[in-house]
Amino acid sequence: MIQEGADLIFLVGGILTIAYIGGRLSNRFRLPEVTGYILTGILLKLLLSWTGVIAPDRLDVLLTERLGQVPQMTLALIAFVIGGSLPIGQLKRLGRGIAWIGLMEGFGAFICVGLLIFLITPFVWTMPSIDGVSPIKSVLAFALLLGALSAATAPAATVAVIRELRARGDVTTTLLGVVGLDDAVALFIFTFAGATAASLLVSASQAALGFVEMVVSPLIEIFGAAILGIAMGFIAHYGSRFFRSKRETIVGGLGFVLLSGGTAVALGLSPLFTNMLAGFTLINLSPRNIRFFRSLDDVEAPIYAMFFALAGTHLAFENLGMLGILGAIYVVGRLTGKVVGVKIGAKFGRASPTVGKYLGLGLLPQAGVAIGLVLIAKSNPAFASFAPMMTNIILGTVAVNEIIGPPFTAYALKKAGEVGQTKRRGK
Amino acid sequence: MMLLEEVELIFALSILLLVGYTLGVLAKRVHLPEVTGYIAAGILLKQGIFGLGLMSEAEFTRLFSLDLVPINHLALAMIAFAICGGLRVEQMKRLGKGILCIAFVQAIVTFIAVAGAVALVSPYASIAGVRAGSLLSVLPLALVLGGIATATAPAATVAVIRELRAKGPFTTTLLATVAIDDAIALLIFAFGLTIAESLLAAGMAGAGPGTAMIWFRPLLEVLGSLGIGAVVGIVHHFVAARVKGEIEMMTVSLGIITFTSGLSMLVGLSPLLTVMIAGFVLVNLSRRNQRVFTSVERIQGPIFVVFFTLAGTQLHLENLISCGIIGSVFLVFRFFGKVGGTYLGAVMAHVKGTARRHLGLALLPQAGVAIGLMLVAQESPHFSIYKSILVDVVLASVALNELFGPPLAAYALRRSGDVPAPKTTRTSEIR
Repeated sequence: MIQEGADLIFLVGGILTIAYIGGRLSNRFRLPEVTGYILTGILLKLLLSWTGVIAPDRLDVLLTERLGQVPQMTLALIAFVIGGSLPIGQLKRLGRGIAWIGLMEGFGAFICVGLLIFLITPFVWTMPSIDGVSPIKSVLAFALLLGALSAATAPAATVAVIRELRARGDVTTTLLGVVGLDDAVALFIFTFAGATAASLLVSASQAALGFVEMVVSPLIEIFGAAILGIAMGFIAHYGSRFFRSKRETIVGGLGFVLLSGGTAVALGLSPLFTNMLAGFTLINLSPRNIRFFRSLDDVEAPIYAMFFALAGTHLAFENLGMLGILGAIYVVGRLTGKVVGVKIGAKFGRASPTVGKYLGLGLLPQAGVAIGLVLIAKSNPAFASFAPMMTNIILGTVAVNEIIGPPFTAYALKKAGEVGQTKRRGK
Repeated sequence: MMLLEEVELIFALSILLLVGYTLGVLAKRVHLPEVTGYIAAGILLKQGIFGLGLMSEAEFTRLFSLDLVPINHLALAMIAFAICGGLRVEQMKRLGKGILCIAFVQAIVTFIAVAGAVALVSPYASIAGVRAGSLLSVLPLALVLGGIATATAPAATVAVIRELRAKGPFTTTLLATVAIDDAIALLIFAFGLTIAESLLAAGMAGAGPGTAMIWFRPLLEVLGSLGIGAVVGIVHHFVAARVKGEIEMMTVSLGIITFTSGLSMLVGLSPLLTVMIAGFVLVNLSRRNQRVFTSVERIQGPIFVVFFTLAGTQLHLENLISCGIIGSVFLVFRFFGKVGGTYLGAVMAHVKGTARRHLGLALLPQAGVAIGLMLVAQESPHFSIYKSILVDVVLASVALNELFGPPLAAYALRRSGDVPAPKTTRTSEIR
């Protein structure tokens, strides 16, 4: 009789060990550890399904169901860390820049990708037509949705690269702020673009109904998350007076992070935004609270390795083949939109030229948020005609962006001169 | 649907962490070990959830018993690994044969005491399946319970030692005894179960074909665990030599430990024993490998809190009442078996000092291994008649010993003089 969960433990141990090796190898090639972790995940999945050590169905169950909670928890932790790296003193100086850049990189990608897709789609792909809707309308809807999806960024890889490089400075702080804000910006853009796209394809009365729903609910989601996050920050602050030792701080801190994220999801709020605000509130209530983040630092490494290797196992490469021109346009348009958007935002927000020059390159990673949003869009019957294509583009480009994104982020931070001399960490 | 499940798990984890942590702090205030606080937290949590009707029983089982199983395995593996981090051969040599002698004698004495007492008492306890006056129907239960009684739970002991920052000859002896105890318990249990099996089979008129297997299996299990553990330890040694940062060390070590534990479970070996051997080999290959153990310690805190609080939610206090006479016999004779056996072993090995009188008190906690052995015994087809009494007694013993064992272990450690500061709560610990 084999004990319940034996293969799971085996898998977790294997992932951690191999991810570590992958991280080291990718360091040797001057790539960030994250890239190594992700590649490890990809390889491991191939290896496991090829050798059949674990039956394929069981492997799927293990990776998506039994380990399905790992991403959620890691993201809760990452959002908390982002919030904690934004003390108000620096925000006063950089806040304007963060706000403008956050808005502009989102809209930049949206406009750039949307426009390019809208212009080029008719030449490369014959979209299945919908009865009673002119083709131009459905192409426009398709472009709006893809543009909106391109605004989303994944905070995890960025945070991990910053952590690995021990980067510090204005570009780093602004980047963290922008990445944190991006969740809200992307959600907003997606909401409005999604509502507009739906109204293009269905009758006006139906659309109006959907419109109100689609506009009001994200507002609630974002403001609710803000309130919850701030409240959680206060609770953690007052709770932390009982922490006597570092060990207790780790336990208590982790407990608060998970509680805050869990409450947010249970209430249907954005866990990312909630935890970011919780971390932000906490660090600004007292500088002493830095110990929360320091102690979590101790346990983050294996969690990150696990998270990114898992992400690697979920990347969908079977879609890469059919990506073709539209996928390439999406990737290029997104990169251009982000870089240009950051430049414009930096100008409006009076950020330093270095920030404007390099920050855009740090915004490539894309993962969970984009996938979550595309699944929402897919579930809307109005988009049925192009939903498979849209999903394939997102899943395929997520794979591309997750892999090329972290090296770009590392490159941007190095170029900006915010990476210290000592690369190897440890005590 | 999926989302809701994830939320619940995040919630469950955060609640386990926070409630466990809170009661751990409270326990410390009243000079009890944190572990007791965690377990009490688990018990309270379960009562609270059912009391307020927050969750159905099925839901509770799914969340706390199934979804969190990996954490249990992980914690047990880390505990097994940590046990051996303190087991350096040179240190053991100084304590010498004493440890081996104490470990074996206490286990055997406990086995004999509990098995004998159960055998004498159970005819009067009106248990289903036991006929008064028939030795044949009494002995199997007695032998199996005796075997299970020898098992101790390293987890609570290690946690208490860590918390008190105990260090010294007594602590080393304790760690060594606890470490060897798992193997000895396995052997004695196998011995007890084999005889019990053959008795039952004989009683049912027909020699069991599995008799040879049941002897062979534990032997194979022990040897296999030894082999894999040794290989892993050596590999880990070479890996550790190449890792520089402490955080990196933590990641890769955690990976290796977990992998080893999973692997040995998959091939049907004892994960506890395998990981212990790996740790033992590792710590003895080079003094530098101590780094591995310190690095893993960083992440132990939250995992232990979740593990013990979770264990608290699994305890069945209601069994305390239903198991009645056999249960009390089991508890009392296990207590005296451990304490007396340790004393006897120490006398035989000419070990002087506090180990003689206090070591036994630190050997009471009982948890995972005992439950595991109980499950193994249940698997045996002949044992179905004893199923309910077996479960009740073992679970009750685990509940009580987990609750009162850690304070007794703490008491023993303090009396031994291995605890540095007189007070447990130290405020100057931060950084």
